[in-house]
Amino acid sequence: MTAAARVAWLIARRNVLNVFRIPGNVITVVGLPVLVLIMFGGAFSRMAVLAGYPPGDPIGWVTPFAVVLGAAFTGLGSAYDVARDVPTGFMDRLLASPASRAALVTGEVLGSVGRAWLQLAAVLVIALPAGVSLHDMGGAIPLLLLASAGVAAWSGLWALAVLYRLPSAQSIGLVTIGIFAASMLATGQVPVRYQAFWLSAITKVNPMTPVLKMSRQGFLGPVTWSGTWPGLLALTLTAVVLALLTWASLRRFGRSAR
Amino acid sequence: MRGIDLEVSEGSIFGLLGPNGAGKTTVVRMLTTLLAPSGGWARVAGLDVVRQASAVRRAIGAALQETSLDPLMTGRELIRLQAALHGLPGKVAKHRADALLEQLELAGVAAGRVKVYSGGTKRRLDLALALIHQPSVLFLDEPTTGIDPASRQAIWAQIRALSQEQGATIFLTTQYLEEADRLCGELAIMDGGVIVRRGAPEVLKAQVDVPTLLVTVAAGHRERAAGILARFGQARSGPRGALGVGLADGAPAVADVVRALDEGGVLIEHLHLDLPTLEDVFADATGRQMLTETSEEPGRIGADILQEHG
Amino acid sequence: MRVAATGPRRGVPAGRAEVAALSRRAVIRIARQPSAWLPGLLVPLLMTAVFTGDYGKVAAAIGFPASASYLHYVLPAALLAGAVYVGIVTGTEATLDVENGFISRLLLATIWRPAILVGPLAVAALQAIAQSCVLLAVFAAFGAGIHGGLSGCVVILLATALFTVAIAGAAIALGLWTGDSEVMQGLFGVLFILLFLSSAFFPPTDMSGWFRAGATHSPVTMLVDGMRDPVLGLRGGHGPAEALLVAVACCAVGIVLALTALRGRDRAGAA
Repeated sequence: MTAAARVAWLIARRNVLNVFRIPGNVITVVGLPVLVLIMFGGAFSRMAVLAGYPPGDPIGWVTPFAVVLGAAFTGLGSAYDVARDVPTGFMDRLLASPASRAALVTGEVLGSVGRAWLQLAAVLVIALPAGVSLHDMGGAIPLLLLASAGVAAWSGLWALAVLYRLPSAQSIGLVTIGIFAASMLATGQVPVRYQAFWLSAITKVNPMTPVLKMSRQGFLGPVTWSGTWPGLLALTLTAVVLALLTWASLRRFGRSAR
Repeated sequence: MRGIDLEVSEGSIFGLLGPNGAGKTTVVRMLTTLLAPSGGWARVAGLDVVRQASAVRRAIGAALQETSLDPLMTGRELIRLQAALHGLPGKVAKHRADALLEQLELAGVAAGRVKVYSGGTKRRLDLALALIHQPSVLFLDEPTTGIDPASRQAIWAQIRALSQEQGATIFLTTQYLEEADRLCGELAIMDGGVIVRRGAPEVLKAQVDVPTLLVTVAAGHRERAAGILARFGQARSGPRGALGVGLADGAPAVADVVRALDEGGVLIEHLHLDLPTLEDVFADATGRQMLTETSEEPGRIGADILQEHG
Repeated sequence: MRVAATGPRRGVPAGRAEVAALSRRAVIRIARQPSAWLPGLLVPLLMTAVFTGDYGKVAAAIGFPASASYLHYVLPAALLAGAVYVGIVTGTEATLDVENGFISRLLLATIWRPAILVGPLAVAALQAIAQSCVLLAVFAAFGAGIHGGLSGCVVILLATALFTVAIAGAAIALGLWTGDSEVMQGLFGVLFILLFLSSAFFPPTDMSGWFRAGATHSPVTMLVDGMRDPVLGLRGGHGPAEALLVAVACCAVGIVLALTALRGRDRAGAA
């Protein structure tokens, strides 16, 4: 393992271990998407009567959304890491070391991915016995893994971009706003045809929309390339933009010498 | 910062002494690449801190003013992470970690989380993290602030060993006069963002003043004693009726003074040697006292000699 | 020589100065951190916009009551979502005080212990009221005014303020117990789930199974429905009274939790 990979691995490990080391965290971090699944599945079960919903399968519609929404919130772990590390001086320790900045950021992002996959496991444990049907299991699970990892990466990068610029626990509210906006201004709850015109206009350009569409394949029907590539493109391009934003924030952080 | 100009010899222990707010930590943060200087240049281990920042970070170790520890991690996890941050292979890191934990008496607590460590233990762990990669230059920013005297002495011993046995260059900031005096081969005194004095502690103190010998003699012997003391330097007032003299030839002249008084038949009741301190140096440079918390200051208590001549 | 005894001035209740000082501190801290109060305004508005955009067109198709627009329906939910945010911010401040040792400083002083809580809780209630006024103004601008008039507004604002104190109390308790701000993330999620497990966003009749049963009997449903009556201008029912009763009960629970946690930390420090 290269030195940079080792650093990233240890940072990611630290991020994920905090799920279990902070009292009550495991219940909320891992349990939240499960609750979202139950909540949306229960609260919005009447949606099934609408034309355009997968007939009789609101769970299949909601499960990928619950996974992606949960992944979208995993970046908060990185946000809290930075909010904790700055006043303790631990951030100085990381920045005064020769470890590459990219490795430090990658570690936090991988930590978000780790959290997202923990959540995914928990959701599937609930959803599968609850009767969610997989039309294409061979495609559904890998795409869900990919979508949750990608969205978790977005979330981690966004959280770091904000916290490197405004390193305080109170800035986490701003992180949450971004996550909320990205997750909810999409086709998480209803298909675009049922949305108000202004919302559908945003939904159509929100990169979350093709990711949701990609991840719902396999639950609602067969997996196709035409349903997959827009999601992959959205994941990649958005990650690149957020990575650049994070890099800019980190360069300004503490006015550190380059 | 209003302009810092200094040079530190390789393998030495260099101290930056000054009160709170003098700018010591700012200097350390610039030299450890955590803060970009607004002007000028600096080289650490021969490397430019701005243009060669990555290389500087490889060469240095730093124990900063905050202990910079993650309270949720264990000591061993932190050492493992620090080793990885410096690119140490796993086996090498483990071997060095075990050695450091033993040396710094942390082996018994390393498996526990940092949040339960005492202040002294955190400082020792911080030092271990700074040493894991065997840096050629070590920055210690107030390494003993807030810890008990016993732990302080232990850390001093480790700092001396690092310098003597491993030849590391140590850049130490402190507000403790005793720490600067005992550890540093050379030091700079800083105030208000500027270096006001620079040199070896003994040289700095000698520049300010000569040692003062205070002598209390038996009644009736004062005039004779005063005449003898006048041969060794300028007369000075002393507390509680003691006679004082500034020893022009320094502390070694004490033996000559005692011999001369004895030969002159003066009955000495009490002797006290007052050496100039770094506090005196600071006051001389800035015109005010450096209010610091000190335990014992070398020179301030001095050597009390009680002698009776029959 | 007689020496006048020192002590509290006659007529000045114990702790009033301390409450005032700690309240002032809470106000200053919140005011200086826009990232602490901005989300409380933006997230409820964003949620309302999204939910209205998602469900506004299909409300009739899924059996939504025709008597109210979705915007009117979801107004109490928006206020309560804002209340959740204010409560979480208050809890985060308490946690930061634990982390940086400020709580220890307060406990070392001979102050009236409840003053440590009264100040921040009072400020949380006031912040919720101010925030709710802004939200109500925005809703009114989009056509969802309060048909119940001034008295209706008072009921709504009072219920929101009391609910905020409840959330803030629970959040402070959690912060004092754990000393880590990351647990606030979990509390935030749990509280939002509670909001969804009620009539806040959809009538329970639109739900199914145990979720419907849970929402039907949830005290949050009583709170939300009671707040909705003044919004729709419905008079004569017990809704507002029930809403205030639930809010007072939640508030009491939150305060008890906070006091218990504070006592625990005080005792732990004395041990």
